[in-house]
Amino acid sequence: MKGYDAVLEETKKDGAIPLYLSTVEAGFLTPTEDFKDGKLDLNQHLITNPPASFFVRVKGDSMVGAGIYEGSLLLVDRSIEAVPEKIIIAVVNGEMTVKRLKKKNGVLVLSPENPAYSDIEITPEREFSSWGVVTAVINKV
Amino acid sequence: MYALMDCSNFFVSCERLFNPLLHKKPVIVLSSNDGCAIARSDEVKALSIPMGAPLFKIKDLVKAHDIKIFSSNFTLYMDISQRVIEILDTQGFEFEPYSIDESFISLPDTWSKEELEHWGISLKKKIDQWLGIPVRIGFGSTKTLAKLSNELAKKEPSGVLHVSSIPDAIFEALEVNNVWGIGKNNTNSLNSHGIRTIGDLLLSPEPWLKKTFSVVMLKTVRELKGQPCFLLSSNPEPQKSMVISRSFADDITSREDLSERISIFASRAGEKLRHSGLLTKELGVFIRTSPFKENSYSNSITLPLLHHTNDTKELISHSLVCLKHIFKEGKKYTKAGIFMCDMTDNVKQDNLFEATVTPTPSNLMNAMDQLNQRYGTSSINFGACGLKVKGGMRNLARRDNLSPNYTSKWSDILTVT
Repeated sequence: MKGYDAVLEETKKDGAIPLYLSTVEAGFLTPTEDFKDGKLDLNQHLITNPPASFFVRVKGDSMVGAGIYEGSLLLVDRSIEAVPEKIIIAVVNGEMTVKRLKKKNGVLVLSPENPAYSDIEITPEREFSSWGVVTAVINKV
Repeated sequence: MYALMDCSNFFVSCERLFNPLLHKKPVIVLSSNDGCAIARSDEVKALSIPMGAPLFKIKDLVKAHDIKIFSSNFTLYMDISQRVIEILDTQGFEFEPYSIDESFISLPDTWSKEELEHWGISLKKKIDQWLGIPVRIGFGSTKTLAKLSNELAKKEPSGVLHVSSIPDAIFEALEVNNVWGIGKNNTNSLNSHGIRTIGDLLLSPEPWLKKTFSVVMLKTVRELKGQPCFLLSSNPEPQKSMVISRSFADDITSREDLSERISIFASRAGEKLRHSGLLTKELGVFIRTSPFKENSYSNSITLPLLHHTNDTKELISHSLVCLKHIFKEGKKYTKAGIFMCDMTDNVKQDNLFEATVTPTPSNLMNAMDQLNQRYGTSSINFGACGLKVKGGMRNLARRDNLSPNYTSKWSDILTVT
C-alpha cells in the first residue's frame, strides 16, 4: 500500500488523478462515529415509568373493539390514576379484568368493547378496585 | 435526620400484589424447603402463629382457617424489592438498602417533624399505589432511633412515626432487645448486669459499657441518646460469620451425594465472599438427619484453613475434609450446611512463607463469577459439585407451593379476562 504522500507525488508526475484518491475509506471513520446512535429500544419507547410497569396477558374477546385480542400482551402502569375513558385492569370480586372505565349517567361502569358483552356497573355490593392503567397493547401479526 | 422504611410483611405483600384474592385472607410464606413460616400476614399473626413456626406443627390451624401457603419465590421478591429501591432513588436523598425490605434514608436536618411526616405519608402512598406494598416509616436523629420508631410505627394507623412522638416513659420502658444491634447474647449479658430497659441502658456509664461490652455497644447507646455514630452504610455489626445451609427435598444417604451438596454450598460461599470482598480463615461443616425420627444423628466440625481465602477450590477441598470426619454410613441426611467464621476484608499475611493474601479474586474465580452472572447460577462449576443438581442452590430445596414468576418469565405473567 502506498502512502498518501507517495500517491500525491505520483499524481503530480503524470498529471492524472487516480480514482481511489477520492474515496479514502479511512477518512470516513471519525464522522460515522459521531453520528452513531443507540439501537431503537422498545422498552424505552413504551415504558415511561419502569418501577410501576407490569405486563399481563389477555384471555377472552371482550375488548376486541380496542384492538385487544385473545393473547394480546398489555403494558400496565400502576402509577397512572384510573379516570373515566382509560382502559384499566380492574379487580372485581377478586377477578382481574381489562375494560374501559366510563361514567354513564353519573355511575362508573366497566365497559367492554364488544357488542356481545354488557357493561359491569360498579356498585357498592361489588368489591372493586383498579389494579393499573393499560398504556400499550402488543399484538403479533 | 434519618428514616427507616420497612415493607410490612414483605413476602406476603408481594404475593398479594399479583393475587387479589389473597387480600384480607391469612397468608404464610415458607422458608426454603417449605420448612417454617418466614412471612405472615396480619391475619396469621392474629392467630398467634409465631415467626419461624414449622409447617407440620401448624397443619391443623392452616386447615381450620384456610391459610394460604406459599413457597418462597425470591426471584419475585427481589424484583419488587428492586422496584422499591428505584422509587427511593427518585426521591433525591441519599439512602442505603439495608435488607430486602428495609432502607435507611438520610433527610435534611432542617425539616420539621410535620414536614418529615408529610414526606413519609406521600412516599407511603406512592409505593402503595405503584407496587401495592404497604410500608412503615420511622424517623429519628440517628439510625438506631429511626429503626426503633419504625418498630413502634406498627401500632400507628398512619404507618409513620417520629421518635419525638414516643412518650419518654414508654421509650425508657422498652426492653433492650428492641434496640437495633442488641441481639440475644447481648440482651442476656445486659440482663445479667441488671440492665433490662432502654432507661437502664441510658443510665449506664459509657466507659463501663465500652469496657464490659464493646465500642459498638457504646456507639449504640450514644445513638439512643441522639448522637449519630452509624452513618449511612455503616452498621453496628459487620458480617464476621456466614452460614450456608439447606434442607434437602429428598433424604440423602450416600457420601458421594452429600459431598456434591457440600461442594455446592462451598461454591456459593466462595461467590458470596468474593462478592463482598471478604476472606475466611475458619470453615466448618454440619450434617443432620431428621430430629423428629428415631436414631437421629447430627454432628459438626470446624477446622481452620491454612490461610485466609475466598477461593472456591480451596473451600471445596477443605469442606470435604471436614465432611470426612463426621460422615456416618447408613443415615438418612435431611439437612447440611457449611459455616464460616473469622471473616475479614483486611489484607493479611498469615504465613511467613507465603505471599500476602488479598480479597481480590484470582483470574479463574473472576472468570467463573462473570460466566455464572451472565449465563445463570452454576453455569460453570467445579466437578465436585456433580451434574445431578441443575441450577445450583435454588434447586436443592422443596418448593411445592411456588407462585408464578410474574415479572421475569413470559410464560408466568398475569392473565386478565
